[in-house]
Amino acid sequence: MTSSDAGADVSFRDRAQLEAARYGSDSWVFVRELLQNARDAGATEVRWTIESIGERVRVTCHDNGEGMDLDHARRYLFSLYTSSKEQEQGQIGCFGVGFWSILRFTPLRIVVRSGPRRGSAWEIELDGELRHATQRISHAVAGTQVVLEKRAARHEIVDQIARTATCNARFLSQRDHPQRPILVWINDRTISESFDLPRPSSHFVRGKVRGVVSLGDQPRVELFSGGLRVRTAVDLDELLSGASSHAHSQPGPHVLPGGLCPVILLESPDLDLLLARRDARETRSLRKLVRLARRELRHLVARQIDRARPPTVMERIEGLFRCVHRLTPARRLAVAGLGGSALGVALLAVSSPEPARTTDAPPVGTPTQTGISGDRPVYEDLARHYRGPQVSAFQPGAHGPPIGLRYRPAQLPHQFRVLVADQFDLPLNSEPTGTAYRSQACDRDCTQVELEYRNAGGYMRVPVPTGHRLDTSSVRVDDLPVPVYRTTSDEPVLYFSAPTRGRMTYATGPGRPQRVGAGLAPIALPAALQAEAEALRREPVPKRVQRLRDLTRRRVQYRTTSDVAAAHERARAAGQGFIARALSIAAGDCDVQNGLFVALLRAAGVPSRLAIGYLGVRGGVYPWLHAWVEYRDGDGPWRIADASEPAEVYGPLATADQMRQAVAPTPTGSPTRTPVSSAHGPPATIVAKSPSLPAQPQLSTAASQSPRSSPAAQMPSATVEPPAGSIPDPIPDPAATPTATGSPPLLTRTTTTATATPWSVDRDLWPLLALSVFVVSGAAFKWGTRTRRAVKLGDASAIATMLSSALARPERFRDLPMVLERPLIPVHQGGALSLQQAITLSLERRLYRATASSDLARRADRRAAIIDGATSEGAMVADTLGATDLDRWSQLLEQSERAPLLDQLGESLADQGEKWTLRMSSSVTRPVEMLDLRQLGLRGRKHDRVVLIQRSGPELQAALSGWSARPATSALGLLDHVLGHLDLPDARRQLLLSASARDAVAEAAR
Amino acid sequence: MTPRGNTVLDVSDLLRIDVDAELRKVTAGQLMGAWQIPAELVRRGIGAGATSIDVEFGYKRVTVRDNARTISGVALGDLARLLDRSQTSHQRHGALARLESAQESALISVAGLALKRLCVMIHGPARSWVLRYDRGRISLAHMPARGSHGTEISVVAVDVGGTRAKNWIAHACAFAPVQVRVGGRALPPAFSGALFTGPLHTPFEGRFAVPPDGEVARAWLLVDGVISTHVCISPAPTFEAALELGRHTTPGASPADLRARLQPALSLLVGKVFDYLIDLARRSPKLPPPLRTRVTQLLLQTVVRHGKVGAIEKLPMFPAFDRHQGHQWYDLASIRELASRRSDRLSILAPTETPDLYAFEGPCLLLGDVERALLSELLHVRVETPRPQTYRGTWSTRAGAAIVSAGDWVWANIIGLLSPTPRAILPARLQPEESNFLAALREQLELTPTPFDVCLCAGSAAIRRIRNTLWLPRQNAHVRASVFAVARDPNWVYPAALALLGDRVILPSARRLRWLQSVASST
Repeated sequence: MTSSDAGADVSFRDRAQLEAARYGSDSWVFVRELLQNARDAGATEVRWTIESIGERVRVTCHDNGEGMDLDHARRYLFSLYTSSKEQEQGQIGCFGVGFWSILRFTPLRIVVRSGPRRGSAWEIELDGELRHATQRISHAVAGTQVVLEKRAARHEIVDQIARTATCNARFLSQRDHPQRPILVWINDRTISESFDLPRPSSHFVRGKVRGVVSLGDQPRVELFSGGLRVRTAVDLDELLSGASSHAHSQPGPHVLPGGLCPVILLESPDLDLLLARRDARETRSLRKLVRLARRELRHLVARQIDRARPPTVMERIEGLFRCVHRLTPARRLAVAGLGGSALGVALLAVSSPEPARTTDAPPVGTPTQTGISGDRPVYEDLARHYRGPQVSAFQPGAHGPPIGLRYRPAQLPHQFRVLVADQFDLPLNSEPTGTAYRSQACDRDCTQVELEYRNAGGYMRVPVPTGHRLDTSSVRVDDLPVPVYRTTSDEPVLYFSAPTRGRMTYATGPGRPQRVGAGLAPIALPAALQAEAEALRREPVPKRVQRLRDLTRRRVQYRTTSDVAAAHERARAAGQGFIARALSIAAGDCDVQNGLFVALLRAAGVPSRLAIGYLGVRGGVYPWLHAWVEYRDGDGPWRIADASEPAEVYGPLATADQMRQAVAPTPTGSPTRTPVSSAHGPPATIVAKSPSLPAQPQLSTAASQSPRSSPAAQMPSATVEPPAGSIPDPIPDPAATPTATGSPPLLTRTTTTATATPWSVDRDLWPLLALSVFVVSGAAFKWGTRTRRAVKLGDASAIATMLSSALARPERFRDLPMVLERPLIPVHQGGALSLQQAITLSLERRLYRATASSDLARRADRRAAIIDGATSEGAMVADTLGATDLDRWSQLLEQSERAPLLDQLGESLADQGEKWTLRMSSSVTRPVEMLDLRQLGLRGRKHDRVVLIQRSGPELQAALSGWSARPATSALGLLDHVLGHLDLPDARRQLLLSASARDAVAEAAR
Repeated sequence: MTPRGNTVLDVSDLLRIDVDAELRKVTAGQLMGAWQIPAELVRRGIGAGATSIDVEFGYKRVTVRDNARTISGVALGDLARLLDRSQTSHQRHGALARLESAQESALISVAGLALKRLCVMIHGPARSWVLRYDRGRISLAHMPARGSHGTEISVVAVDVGGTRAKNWIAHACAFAPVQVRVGGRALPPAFSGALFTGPLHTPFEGRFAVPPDGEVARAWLLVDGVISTHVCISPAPTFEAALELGRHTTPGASPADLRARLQPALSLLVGKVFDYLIDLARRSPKLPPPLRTRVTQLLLQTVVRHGKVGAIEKLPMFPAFDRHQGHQWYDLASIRELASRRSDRLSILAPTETPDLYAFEGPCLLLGDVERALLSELLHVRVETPRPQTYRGTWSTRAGAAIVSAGDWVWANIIGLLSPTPRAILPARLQPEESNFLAALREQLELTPTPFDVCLCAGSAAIRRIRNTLWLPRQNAHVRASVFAVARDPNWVYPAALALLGDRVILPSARRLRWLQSVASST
């Protein structure tokens, strides 16, 4: 019986007994160890059978676990310090000595038999001295059986085993299902209990950790690992080493308010146990477990308080802030960052202009069936209303909703040109020509546009993004294809023979202008400016644009104040030319700046023109109009340059309504403005010869034509001549599209256009998206590691004692601030006071108590702090804080008596501004008592104070007896007595006494 | 003979000891962590009889020097064998067993570390021994004695020189009975912040302390003067105790063994502490206020929670102030009686308040908020805070008084400008009763803090004050009445002063009492 390696000098039995002794003085510790082995073998049930066999008692421990084969047993069970569990997850034992704690039982015979699931059953018998061992073929047995025999009284052994098993393993849980208990039977009586505690309690699970916190009479903490008890303690702090905090530096929840004590069960499989198995190392797991238990205890107390006094919404919000306040600085920072981000995104969303909602946009080409909204502005041709660059008195925020223009892809920041101004001092020279617009088939990078429009009859320009051309085959007016004409500035226009209103759809794509002669006519400039611009002709176009843009901004500042507008109006009325007035006033809005910009560009040899239109944003447009410069670099498409951008962030020109209101409309009969009478317009007979056309819109087209057919093909050949000199549509040149490479560096919006992809997300949405991802990830993580709890609350009787303890043991409440801060003390008028408020009021002597029957309480001001004395917590706080008892005062006042002498004193005091009533009472226990009615806010009061004088007091008796003979002297004596007992400073008291003193002296002199 | 199917086994073959596992588990399985090693070496030194121990920390290194009885050469050899992995398991197991029996658990723990280097130098009377271990290489040498006794153990391993190790040694060795210096500086004494400390002899030797705050009763359990573990105690008044259990447990007892050893003696320990507190409370008037307040709180908390009111019934723990009798000390029984006389109401002021500034009759207790709440809970009395003497009337009263005062001031100045300064009547021309009146009045004024004079002047105009002199016209009705009243009874100088001076001067209370007695006697 010695180890083969150790030699004869080291006895296996001695060594095993030495190790078993480490488990403490309890010789029944083997019960715990055998149960632990059963648990680690995956048992779901363990049966202890204690029976008498002659003089001996046989103890059999039989589990239904996996069992073990003989090799495994020889390698691990019968070998000291060797454990098969060292590297396995979910095992409690790992030291390889637990089994041999059976030697502490001093058995006479030891039998171990096991039936492994794979392999044959076996049985080995040892004598108590470990001198003889016999192996037998075992009967079929599932699991493992350990039999110990000893001479002893059976009932003692039953009791001891039951006690030990109950203490250590009543919550023993299964290895593979830690939430399920292992049934432990001792002679057909189970000792297993559910992992729970009586009410009020909170059962919580967080990851692999579980626990129960409860409130009881005696503090107790039990620490378990796998359902086996590791340690008991009085306090959670006791589980830690105490090196970091002495007892007096951290008040743990040792005894809770009201004498309630925490009873806590904690279990974690991650505990690092010492060899003696009665201590766990202070690892992070243990510290987290202790923290978790503290938090759950606070939560339980808070829930218990909530039950008694449900918190209001504001209190919940306050509680939330307090929770944040209690977080560690790092977590607080994280919460603040998250909150700040959310707030920032929310503010951004609120403060940004309301764009057209892309989600509302119906698919282009398929108009919705709901019709046109009557309250939303629609697009109208503005050519008749534009009278050159001027300053509009535009007021930010005064605009209404944007016009009904929606486009896709929504992320492209188009600028929809609706008007072109080629010259500034003459009437608009961009007139419809009556010839067909040169269509450009849109193969790629198309923009689909849907537009709600209104037309009084005649031509209407179609808004097209700068740099784009219209695909005429895609144009549908109320789902009908229509012909498209062009203006002298190559703008697409539609013709309506009658006033109409509706919705149109069309597609545009990048393209170069056709047959444009405009943009080159020079505009007269002052000589110096002309020379400065001409000096740039050798520079590349982008550089010219940039330099002249800067020059423009230096010469004309962006300003739209009323005085600037008035100055422009006066100069215009005086006949001053645009350039001259722009330079002399040196200020203006976007079209004034960009008008000058156009003149400079032309002087520098850059074809350019002023474009007026709407700025696109997220698939819609801003409500106001804007003016910008369109220029060309060689044969490329129109590009955007803007002297008002970016400092003014696309300063608005005006709203369309303002523009219409600013100018009296040109008479519709004007030959130059009336499309119907225009020599270039289509003949009126076209309309008349279209019998299939509906009355509205009255379009000069046939509905049966193919949408992809050319405009010429769409036109009835018999009535409309194809435009003379028309040329085939050019092939779109991708290089000519307004991309980043071809755009001036300052035009950031154009750059964005080039980088946008169909699947790209709007830049403004990135923070929101990132925040959402962050929040969702955080929420998912928290959800995974959340604490699940089942709370069973007790009755609400503990509140009063809890408050009492808060007053008597304030240190305890550093951890439970809700007891001090929550309104828990009911007040007479309804609602409640917090203990903190009650303490403050008591220091100011403004705290009262009363029951419903009190007359004074009924008449008191609603704001007075009158604690409801009928409740236990109210009575307790009122007693402790010395609240003035209004019930008692009501009673005293009812029983008090008046006396002529006291009335005389009252009058004397009233003469000096003190509205007091003095009465005598047999019930007062002090010589003088006073109630301040004014402080109480008593309604309908005649006096500010009530003073009760003890009737049996010698001072009052002397005054009453001497009053008939020497009334003034008696009055002075009594008044002196009364005032001496009140809260008056000496000076005030002497002043109040002086009048009575004069009377008394006069009386004495007589 | 064995029955069929039975096989007799060789026990020595069946029952084995895994020596490697044994070494690993026995050495490493008994400490919370390597950070406890420095304190364990200190404990070893104290146990070996050291009177002075120096601890030096370095990067992952700790050196402990003491002047204790040296480690025996045999033990040092066993430690070398334990460390030497080239030795057979049999030899290492034997070394471990011998070190265990020699109670060198600290050295066993050192051997269980993931050591980088170790140097143990022992200086004996005959010779000195040096054991060096350097990443697996071991050397054991001896040299001539250098004349001084002692041991020096230097350990280089992870966690032995970190912050946690330093904190732990400062905490665990605070109660050491010998001087322990860490980095050349003595450790701060234990209970340094306590309000009171005293010795304990039963149930175990040690000390107890009254901490200035906190609500937990806690006992630190020591072996050889070094903390092994601690226990929270309930129910008990708040205290801290350090108890030496080394002589009451078996060598190598685990922290759990120490706690189990204390368990049956807890009630005795709490009783001793309670006796201490009662003894302190008995001497309350002589104790410094913080200790007195704390002791009062602890005793009240104990009896409120756990009874034993009778034990503190007659302890003069509660200071009070009486206007007539000055400061007094009340016990619980007296307070109960006082409260019963006042309809279960007590006047209590905070000890920091000045009682003279408050309006109250009889004794007023001077107690803090905590004692006040506990007293209220214990005796079921209502507590009242006296009103401060700050009442100056309602705002309308104050406004009226201010207007009248301003009017008086203006009127007096106008009169002063228009009329000449009054002339005092010469003493020789005063009537005797007038002279007596003036003398009595001046006697009153002598006791006032500001110098003030009164003079009689001719005429019957109103009483005027010019600078610090109050002019009393001889023919003024109030003046004449006052003179007559005082002539009849000199005690009437108090009402006369009130009538003539108003609130200009605060009159002393002695005259007031004299007048009140006079009036009472005359009626």
